[in-house]
Amino acid sequence: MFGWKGKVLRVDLTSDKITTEPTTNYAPKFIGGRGIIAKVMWDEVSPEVKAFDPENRIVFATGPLTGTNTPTNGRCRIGSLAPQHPKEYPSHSGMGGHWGAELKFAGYDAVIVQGKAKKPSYVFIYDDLVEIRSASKIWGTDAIKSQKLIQDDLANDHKITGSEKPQAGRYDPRLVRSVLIGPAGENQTRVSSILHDSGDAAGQCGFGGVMGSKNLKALSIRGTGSVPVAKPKDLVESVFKARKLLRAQAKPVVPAYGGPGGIYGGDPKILTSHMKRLDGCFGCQVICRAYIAPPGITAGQAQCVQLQMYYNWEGVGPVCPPHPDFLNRPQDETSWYGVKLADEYTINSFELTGFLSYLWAAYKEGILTEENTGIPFKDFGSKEFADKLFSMIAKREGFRNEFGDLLAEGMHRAALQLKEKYGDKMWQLYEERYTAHGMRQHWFYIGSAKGPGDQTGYPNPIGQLLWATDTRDPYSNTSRNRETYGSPELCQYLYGTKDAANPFSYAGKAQAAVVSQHRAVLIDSVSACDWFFPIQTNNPLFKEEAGIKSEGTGWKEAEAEFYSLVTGINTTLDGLFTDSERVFNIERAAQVLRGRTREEDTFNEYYFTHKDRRNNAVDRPAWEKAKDDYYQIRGWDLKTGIPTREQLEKLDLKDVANKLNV
Amino acid sequence: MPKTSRRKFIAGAAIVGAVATVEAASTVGYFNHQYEPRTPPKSKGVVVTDMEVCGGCRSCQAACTVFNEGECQPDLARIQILKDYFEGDYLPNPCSQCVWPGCLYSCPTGALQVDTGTEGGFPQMEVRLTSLLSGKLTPDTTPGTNARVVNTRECIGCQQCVEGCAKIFDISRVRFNSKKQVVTKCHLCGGKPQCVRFCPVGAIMYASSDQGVSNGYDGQGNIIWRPPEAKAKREDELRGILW
Repeated sequence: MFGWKGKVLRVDLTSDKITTEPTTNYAPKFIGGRGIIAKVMWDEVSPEVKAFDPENRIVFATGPLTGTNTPTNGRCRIGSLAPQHPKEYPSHSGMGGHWGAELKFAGYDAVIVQGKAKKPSYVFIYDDLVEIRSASKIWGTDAIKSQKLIQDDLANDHKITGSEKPQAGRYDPRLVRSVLIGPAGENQTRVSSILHDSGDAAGQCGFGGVMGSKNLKALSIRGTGSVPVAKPKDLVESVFKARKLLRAQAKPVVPAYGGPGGIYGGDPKILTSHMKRLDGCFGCQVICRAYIAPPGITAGQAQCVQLQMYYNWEGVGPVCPPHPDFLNRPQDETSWYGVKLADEYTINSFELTGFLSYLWAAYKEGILTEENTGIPFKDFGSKEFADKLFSMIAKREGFRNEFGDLLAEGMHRAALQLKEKYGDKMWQLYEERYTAHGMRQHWFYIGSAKGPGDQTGYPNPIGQLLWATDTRDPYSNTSRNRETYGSPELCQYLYGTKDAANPFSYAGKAQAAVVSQHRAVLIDSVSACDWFFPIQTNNPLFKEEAGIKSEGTGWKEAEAEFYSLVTGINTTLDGLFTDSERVFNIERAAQVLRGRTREEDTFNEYYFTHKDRRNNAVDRPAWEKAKDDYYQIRGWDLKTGIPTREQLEKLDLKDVANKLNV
Repeated sequence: MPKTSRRKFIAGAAIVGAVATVEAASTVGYFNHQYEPRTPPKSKGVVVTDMEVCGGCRSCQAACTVFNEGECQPDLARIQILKDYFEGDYLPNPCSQCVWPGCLYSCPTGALQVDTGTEGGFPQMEVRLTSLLSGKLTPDTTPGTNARVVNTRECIGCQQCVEGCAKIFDISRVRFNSKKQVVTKCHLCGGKPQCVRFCPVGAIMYASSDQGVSNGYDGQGNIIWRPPEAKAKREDELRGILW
């Protein structure tokens, strides 16, 4: 097998049993990554199971391109029942770094963890050696220090380090890479991320809590094996072509190429003065991040965009205006402090932007005070404030009424309770900031919102359909849609319809949304980065800068070409889109079993009742019509939003149709 | 066993052409001169790195092994990165193509050789094979980079060269392929080093001179990190020339 390693590792923490299964159970039919997750969740987790139950699975999956030399293959996917989601639907989250590649080099395409360990444990994988080791001494330690403790633990174990020849470097415990949780995960909060290295994290969905519920502190890996490639020489040339295009595409945004470092509104001085060096995920050809070392603050890898997470609570970047109360506040190292503290506790720092914005608004309304919450609102934005609030959330502790415990349930559940206690205003403040699925507005705004809305005032109909039909914020993989508005040429090239270029109508948007989702599943499944794939642009100088001829505006077939060259399975983009559709349908079927219907395919009511800066509100009849179009293309029932038997059988999912009873 | 410290690596890399001292007086005696073929000609090229710039993405390792082995296996890559992500020390360690190659002098069978191309007395299977596979060069036109290379047909997998390199450098640049039971070593990809080609930040550069470059361990206890004879060039400076 080229590309895939051919083995999936299964760790049962209840019985301490470690087994392997062939990857052919999942691939190539479900590609890999997100596809493996979808299939495992469908097959093994019944609808009655809750996120923190031992019967729940947590899957760490890589794709066929992970651990090769294709650009941005360092990403891997993590999936489980999402504690952050209001109904705990199965979902997924991604992270970059080197862990996924290391898993492939150790010889596995995915790890499925099930059951619950009796004592705190961590799993160590070193090629064929897989062990469940005690994490009693590490439990309770912050996530960055824990990695050093794990390395020390392994360095002292002669069974692992004892080598017969001086393979200098090979047995170095410094080369062990971990995914792990800090206190927020251990205490089973619904807002806990899973951290890797010094700053990569899978944040949205709150999977850190799932690891905590299994008493699983970390998965640590050292792999020395190889990932075979079907056509290596062609692949090298193909990657070099992609490299030129990707660098031209990245030029305006990535600091490494002279792009403005503070594009997201962060102070460039703060960004660059503490930047020690650049930092990249495995095999990346772009390098968008840096290692930062501000004085007195935990050093580590970070992105410029993170400067905004503990600074500007209304949102991130130029598309989202800063909070008016803090316009004149100069930015200092406190921004980094907040971000790194969240990493240590493994709190999802994106959810924190929601918390901070929400809490401040409620404080300004006079509803929440220091007296009734224990939160020192007077110090808002300071290091002390971060210490207090983050520890309250991570340790589920609080003042009198356990406010930290409340916030640890995630904004959606917290807002529901606060609404009971303090009235509807608390719910409205939530809806202003959150879009759907209990997830925060991302920079991928769907428009028509006051507050953090799209600054341009343009609606984002493609984004609306993506938000409505997903289980999490669709930022993770479809953020590039914004670039296609106003560019009929690009829309024709990517979606096959010029109509999608007009943001003021729903014409062609269903098709654009479906193609975007195909692409999203593909990117998540083969392992590529949503920042830079698909390779597309509306920059007229793109082709010249890239120095090569490319058809249309970009290179939409790039993923398909890499896939073909790595796996030796000759296929086209359309062929892979069929696989993507299969993955999406099985994901949808798993939600249908848990009660998902057409009524749930929407976003918060707020968007229908409030107008944005250009006086647009979501028009309900037109919106319902757009959903009809979407289901039509998807082959789903128009009334219920459930996949039809015809469609499922077309995708070779007859067993799914039987289980759904459609 | 004396070794350069990791800190010295960084300090040495920061200054172009800097010379870092190794307390290597005792190391010389270690090497097996019995099989020394002759004083090898200086390499015509060398891969050098700027450790302050490296982002630790390991694209070089991926490109190296996919190009040369047909599969991605960073552990076997001819450039090794020891990434300390807590301290922010990302250390790319390419082969220095030493003036006094410890690997070559340690080899008991003469499998470690100098790639002098098709005219020289040193047949070089690995480079020829690579050149043939890439379709860019035929064996007759292989120019010969004078790189210190492994003739895998003569390698017996004893790993003495690995130890020989590790005596001088922190991490051995010669890697042992346990599947094939032979060692692999940087051969400059026949003059078109793929690690340089795929470094996204220009931290890996290629310095070449037809007169040969003085780089690496000089046999006198010194390590030269940048050859004084040649300018180190990044990928974009080599575009159109090498690829």
